[in-house]
Amino acid sequence: MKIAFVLPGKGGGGGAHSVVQESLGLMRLGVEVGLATTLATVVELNANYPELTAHGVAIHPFTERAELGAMLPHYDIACATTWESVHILVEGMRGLTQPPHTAYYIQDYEPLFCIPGSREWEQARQSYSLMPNALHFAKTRFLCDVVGRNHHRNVEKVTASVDHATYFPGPRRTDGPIVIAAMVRPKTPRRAPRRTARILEMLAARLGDKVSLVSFGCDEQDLADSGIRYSGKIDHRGSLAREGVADVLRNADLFLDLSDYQAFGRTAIEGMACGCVPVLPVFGGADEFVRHWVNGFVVDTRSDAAILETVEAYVAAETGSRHRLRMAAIGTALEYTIEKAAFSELRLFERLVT
Amino acid sequence: MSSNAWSRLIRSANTKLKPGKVAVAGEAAGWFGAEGEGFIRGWCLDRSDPKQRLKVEVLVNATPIGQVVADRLHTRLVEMGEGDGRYGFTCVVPQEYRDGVARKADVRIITPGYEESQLKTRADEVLLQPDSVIPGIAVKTITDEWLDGMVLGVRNRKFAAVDLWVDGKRLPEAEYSLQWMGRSDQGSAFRLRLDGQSPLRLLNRAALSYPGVHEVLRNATQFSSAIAFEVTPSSGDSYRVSVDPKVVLPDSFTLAAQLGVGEDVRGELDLVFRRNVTRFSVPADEGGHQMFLTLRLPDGSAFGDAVRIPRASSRCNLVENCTFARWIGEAPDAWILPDIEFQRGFYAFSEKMRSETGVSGQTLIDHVAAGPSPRLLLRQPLKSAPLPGESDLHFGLLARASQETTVEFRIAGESGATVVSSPASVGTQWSAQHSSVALDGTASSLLPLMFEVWTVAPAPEDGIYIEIAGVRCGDLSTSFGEASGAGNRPTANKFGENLVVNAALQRWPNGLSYTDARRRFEITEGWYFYKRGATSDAQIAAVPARTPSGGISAGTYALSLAVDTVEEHCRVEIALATESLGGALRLRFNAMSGTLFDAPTARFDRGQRWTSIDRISVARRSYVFVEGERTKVDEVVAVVARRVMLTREMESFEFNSVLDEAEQGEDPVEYLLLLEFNRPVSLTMAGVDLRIDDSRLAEDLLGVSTALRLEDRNISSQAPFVKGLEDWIAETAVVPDVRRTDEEKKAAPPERWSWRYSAMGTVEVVVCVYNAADETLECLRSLVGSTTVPHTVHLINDASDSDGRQRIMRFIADKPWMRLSDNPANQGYTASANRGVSESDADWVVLLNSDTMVSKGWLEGLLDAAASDPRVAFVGPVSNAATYQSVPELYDGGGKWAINALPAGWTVEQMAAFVAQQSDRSFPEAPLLNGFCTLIKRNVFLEIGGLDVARFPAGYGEENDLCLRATKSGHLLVIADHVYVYHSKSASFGASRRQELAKAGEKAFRALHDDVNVGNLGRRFAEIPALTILRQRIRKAYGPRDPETAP
Repeated sequence: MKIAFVLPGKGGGGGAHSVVQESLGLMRLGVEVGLATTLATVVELNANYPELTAHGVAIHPFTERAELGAMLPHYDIACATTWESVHILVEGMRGLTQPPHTAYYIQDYEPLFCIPGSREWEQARQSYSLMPNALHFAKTRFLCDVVGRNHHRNVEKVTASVDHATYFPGPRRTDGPIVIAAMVRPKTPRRAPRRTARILEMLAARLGDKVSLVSFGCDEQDLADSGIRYSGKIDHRGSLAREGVADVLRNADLFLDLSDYQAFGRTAIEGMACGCVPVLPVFGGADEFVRHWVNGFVVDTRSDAAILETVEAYVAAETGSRHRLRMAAIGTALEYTIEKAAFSELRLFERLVT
Repeated sequence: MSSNAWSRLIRSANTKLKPGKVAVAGEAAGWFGAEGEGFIRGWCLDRSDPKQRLKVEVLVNATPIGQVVADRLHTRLVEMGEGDGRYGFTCVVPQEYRDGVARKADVRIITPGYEESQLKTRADEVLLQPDSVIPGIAVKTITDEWLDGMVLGVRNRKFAAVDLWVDGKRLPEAEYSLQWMGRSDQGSAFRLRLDGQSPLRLLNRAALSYPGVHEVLRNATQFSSAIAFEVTPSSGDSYRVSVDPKVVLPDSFTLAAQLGVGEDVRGELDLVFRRNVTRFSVPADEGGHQMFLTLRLPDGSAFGDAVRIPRASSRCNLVENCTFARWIGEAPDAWILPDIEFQRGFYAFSEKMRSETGVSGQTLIDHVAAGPSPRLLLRQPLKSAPLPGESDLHFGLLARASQETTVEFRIAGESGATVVSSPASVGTQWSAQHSSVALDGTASSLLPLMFEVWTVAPAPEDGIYIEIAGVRCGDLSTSFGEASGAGNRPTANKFGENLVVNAALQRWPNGLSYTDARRRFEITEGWYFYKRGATSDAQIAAVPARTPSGGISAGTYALSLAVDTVEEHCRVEIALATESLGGALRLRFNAMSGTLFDAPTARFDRGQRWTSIDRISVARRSYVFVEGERTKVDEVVAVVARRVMLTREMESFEFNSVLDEAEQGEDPVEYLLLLEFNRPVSLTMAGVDLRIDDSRLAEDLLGVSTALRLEDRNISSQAPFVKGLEDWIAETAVVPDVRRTDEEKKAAPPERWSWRYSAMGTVEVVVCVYNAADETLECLRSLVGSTTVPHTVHLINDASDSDGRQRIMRFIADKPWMRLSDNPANQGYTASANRGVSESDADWVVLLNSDTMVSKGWLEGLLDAAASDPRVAFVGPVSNAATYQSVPELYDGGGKWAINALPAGWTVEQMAAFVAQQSDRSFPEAPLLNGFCTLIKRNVFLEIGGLDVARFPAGYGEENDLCLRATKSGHLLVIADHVYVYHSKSASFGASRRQELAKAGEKAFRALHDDVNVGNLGRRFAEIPALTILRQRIRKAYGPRDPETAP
């Protein structure tokens, strides 16, 4: 079987990570995987994911429809990964006499990214109906439901994956303050950068020396540009590559993802794989893998009070309780392997071609 | 010039000139050619004297354009073994020769002794195309470590070279290094470092040039005078020193400063710069003198030239309340008004006038009655005495009069003795008059001195009115304002006060409603509009302010702004009445998308529904000295919010932001609130309130807000209408579910589906039964087996035979959600159905024929379709035999309605699963619905009067009538094209009776709806694309089409 993912852009986000690592998983299952991407970003994509070419994933840079159209017939299935890629794929398929089967790996409910009524919003909404015969799949029940209910589309559920080669617990210190890490993305309002910064400052003020606060996810300049100015109590590590993120998470006890919602929560589950207990928004798909007070926490992130209550309860908990949460988190993350995820996708793809 | 043009030039130069080694007199040899990028470049040497550097002159059309020493390294010469290779030269062709006209180029040696050895050329022509970038050198930044610049118009840096001249001498190349950094359309960028020294010492001492030819370049050479610092008064005796932004001083950089009067050094101090700005104060006793400031680098070298310090504001104007901004009771503050009739006035000066003259808009109107002259109009003691001979004293008056007249400025002793005077005329239009006098030594003996304005022309009989908007006495200035540039702005953070200028929108100097095409203009006092790109005209109006609760508050205005197309960017700039800003900011405003004048229908136009303020920020506007010009620099210091979505409802917004005071520059001049738009604008806003809240920070950190807020407004604005996100906008915090384990969750029905139905309300299935107990029981069994949504079943027994009734009763005995009601006598289907619906208390009722078999997920599917649009009233599934809802065939071989058999070996469940898989779930709208299985919104059913028992007693047509009544009253009928309900077709009546009933029904239907083309309705139904596609797909499952397979 030959599958081509259409992944425009340079990658770097959670969705692209999924596609890349599951592509490698599919390769290991004997599937030939190609990756069609925009020429303008192919260098950055290769730089972000050198493992792609190292493991034999064929990269097809394209600038126009004809180039994409020329490569598609070599594949059994062409799989879109974002709303833009659906439009690109539909364009690329036009006029093909032997078009491949189509699929759409839905990474998020993308109309939520756009201003309602804007052209992007319309196109993001259209992406769910542009390929009526395509296999739609997503990695959380939340995504399956929200797309299903709003676009009357059957969305299959696949298993999510974690790159355990990068994200693993490793040795850690047992003394010192509780380390709380958070990701701050000032340019992405749904990731609630202001809330995150505010909560970090509040935790610093309320918990003092009991905690050590770390943030990452953007450059200092991005913080400053958005008017976020930390007091000296927060250690901002800047924009980190995957290894850097793993390192921060390995050395943290608690990871705060205070987004408005999370379609999945990749960094949180990667944190769990590193032994870091996550706090995630109650809205979205995080309940797929997090159980409140069992292996992590879910909170209504709209409420500062709810967040603080949760974090303070964790900090006040006995060492044994925190250890139990940590072990449960590691255990849960180990359920999500690239192999399982790739296999769940493969089963769907087989259904499509047979 | 484009690269193509250059390559043409190179081609033409190379082909026509055929440059090559040209032997000249003696041992001299040389080469030149018109290289790309507008240079004439070559080399020249005397082989008999390789240490000699020859000087050449470059001529175009016999006119010298430059003289160059041929001493540049030419690598080819090194390769060829020609001495040390330093015999190259480059000469820039001046702009005026870049006009596309072919000219002759010559190069001759002008070193004494070689005059005869003019380089021989074939005098071919060079053609230089006009260039879009004027060649030159631009300095971009100078830091303590390096100087970044750009050789403009030179994209190929191979041809570019830069000489550095300090104090008039060319610096040897060994003393500085030049690193090429990259190139752009503009030219090639370079970074220059001095050997072990700070480039800051180059300020005002150095020049950059192209080697040897700087005299031909207009803007390539001196940057010495362009880079300096400026001293401006800030407040009191305090001054602000701002260094040109090209110079990037390290943070906390210290320069030694000397204050002097003339040649005397009066004070020494260290100035610590932050972000190129610092402040210092002049010692009080020096306030009256003309002082100079010189700055020195740590190594003692001068940092720019000495700069004259403008007089402090107290000296700029020796009188106060010059624009009558302050009144005490009925009289202007500070002025002494003699016994003369006066009143307070107001004039709406243009924004330009206000900014140029600093007038407040308040005026003093004097009425000078007929009588002897001169008459004193107003007087005020001078704040300090000018020193004799120090400078002239300048007067100014902005006034108009009811007829032309003359006034006189006087400086007088307290006793009235005039020291000096100066006349000025006042016309009938507003005009500013300025004059000056020289003070002599007598003034200081008469202290305190008074400044007076007199009218000197005799007044006519009915007197004369003189209206004064500004008056001044002091330094030469055209401004009547008291503090330079800052107007009446407060000088410090004001906690708890609204800092927005004209926040209540009470002052509209340009009118209350207008359209303005300008790039930048004042919307209303203190509010400005600015646009970039081909953005359309802005439509401005002052409208009555509305509160979010819908009320209109009397006397307050809202700004209504519409910009139909925004090409690049436009913004509203709102002045803030503060000179420094910091701490916790709280911004509040009321705003809505659309202007209050929009047609009500615009509400439903999706394109008009939202307006997005793409960014709300606070910017600091400072003025710096750039190449001798005072230039405005805006810097965003805090982004308050991004992508603020305005809906069609007036809403209150509140944003908090923290602006760290320490992070701001030393002496900002103005602060602005910026509302930026990247898309068409249509908004109404009022009540803009920005204040500093010093209590908020502490509250933020220690107290906790109980508000529930999504941060991304894209999400909060969509959550109300995206299905499944309902609890994202719940009014109370959602508590995580801790009870259930993963396994329990997996085992339970999918909760996200089930809670939704409870949100939609309750469901009852109504089955009308008339005999045919077998089919009915089959139907009930399928209901029990395939319905997962909570529901009740109501069976209406229309006087069936008792055996059938008993069998049904036995079946439902252990099913508490099923009940049976009996009609006392057979009343027909229509009446039974009406009874079933009207007796139900459910929100949704399914009228289900007793001869049907439902399939897994059928009710979820119907509810899905019902949820697809709030206007949906009725939903029907597809079936094997349901007229237009039949799949795969509509008609049988005989042209009658098809009763499609299931494919051989398939069960109803299998068929239903297949249909669900093939369906696009597009839930198409239908003009009618077959009544065999219809999900009905009960209140709509009741609202339109239910089924018409009188005209359709036995059914057959009653559902069509009901459907038309529903659509005529604005409701929608949709097909759940993914739900398949099997219909064994009319078990109740035999075939012949059925035809008879159908005919009667159709007749009644046509009579009732003679305004409807029934045939057309049917065609529309038959051609619904989603169903046509579905039928095609299902047909495949049936194999080759064979009408005979239909039973």
